[in-house]
Amino acid sequence: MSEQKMVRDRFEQRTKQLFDESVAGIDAAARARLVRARHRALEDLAPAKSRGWRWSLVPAGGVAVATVLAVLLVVHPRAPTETGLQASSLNDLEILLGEEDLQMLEEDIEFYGWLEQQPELKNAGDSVG
Amino acid sequence: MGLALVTAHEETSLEREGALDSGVAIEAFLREVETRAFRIALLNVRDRDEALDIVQDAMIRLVRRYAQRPSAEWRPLFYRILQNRIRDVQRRRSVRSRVLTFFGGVESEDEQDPLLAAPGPQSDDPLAQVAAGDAMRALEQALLMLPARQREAFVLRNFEGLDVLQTAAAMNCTEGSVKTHYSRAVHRLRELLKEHVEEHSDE
Repeated sequence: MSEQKMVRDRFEQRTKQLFDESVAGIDAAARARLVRARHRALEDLAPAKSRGWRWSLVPAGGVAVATVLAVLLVVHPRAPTETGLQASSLNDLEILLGEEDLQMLEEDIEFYGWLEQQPELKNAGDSVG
Repeated sequence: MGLALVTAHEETSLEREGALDSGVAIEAFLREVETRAFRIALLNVRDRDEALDIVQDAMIRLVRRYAQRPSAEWRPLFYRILQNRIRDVQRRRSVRSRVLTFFGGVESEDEQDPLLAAPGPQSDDPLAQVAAGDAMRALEQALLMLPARQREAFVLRNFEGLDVLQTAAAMNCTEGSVKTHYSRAVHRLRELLKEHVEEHSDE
């Protein structure tokens, strides 16, 4: 093994070690919240419960806030030099207020498209996890 | 008829047992990754509450949508969801900052740096604690200076130990791209962290 490779390997081991130590140092409060988050996630393994009404309020709230902000943007025009910014800010509102995760919209299609091209992973079985 | 009933009952029991096994397996998986995922999210978004929300969202989404997938797929899927959520938060934050600037408001992100408030590594030796804490902070700062894709590749390969194939799945790119991103990340980090990390590598 070349010296350069050894130095690089040592560096990579050290960074991994630093990260592992910082994970070990996570405080009890954060750990407790993570446990609650896990339990909350696992609730979804149970048969679907009546949680639809809660989610149905989310788009309504988003639309209300979007409307208020859009009105503010229109009735508060700034200096003429800022018209470009104003237009882009209106476009930004969709991102800021969007309830759907932006990157996740294409997640499934992309992932399974990618997966189809990876026979090794596809045949990996259930040993990992 | 009786036989048919017994068979149906057995099938139902088997399905229930299968679901139970799957539930146990995915809980074990989440338990294994949750603290590491939190640290990764915190490193990227530098806000404790947002980092916790990101991890919770990622866990919920994995369970809700992919619990029935083979467990070999969970890891790349989970980290892909996590990275997507991190990017969403960063993008929304950037847009929020632009909107606030437009309205003449100010961002208060720097009022409290969660990284500075975060506890350091556990050790009996205070000097070692300080040294390790400084090194980790330096590593985090250096990581934030990398392009996002290089940072993702480094975090997944080095911190999480994903292989090239799993990293490619998590990043939705080719294995060649993973190797390139990772190699560039290591090269750049070594330049940035010479005194903080390499000096202590020989210990």
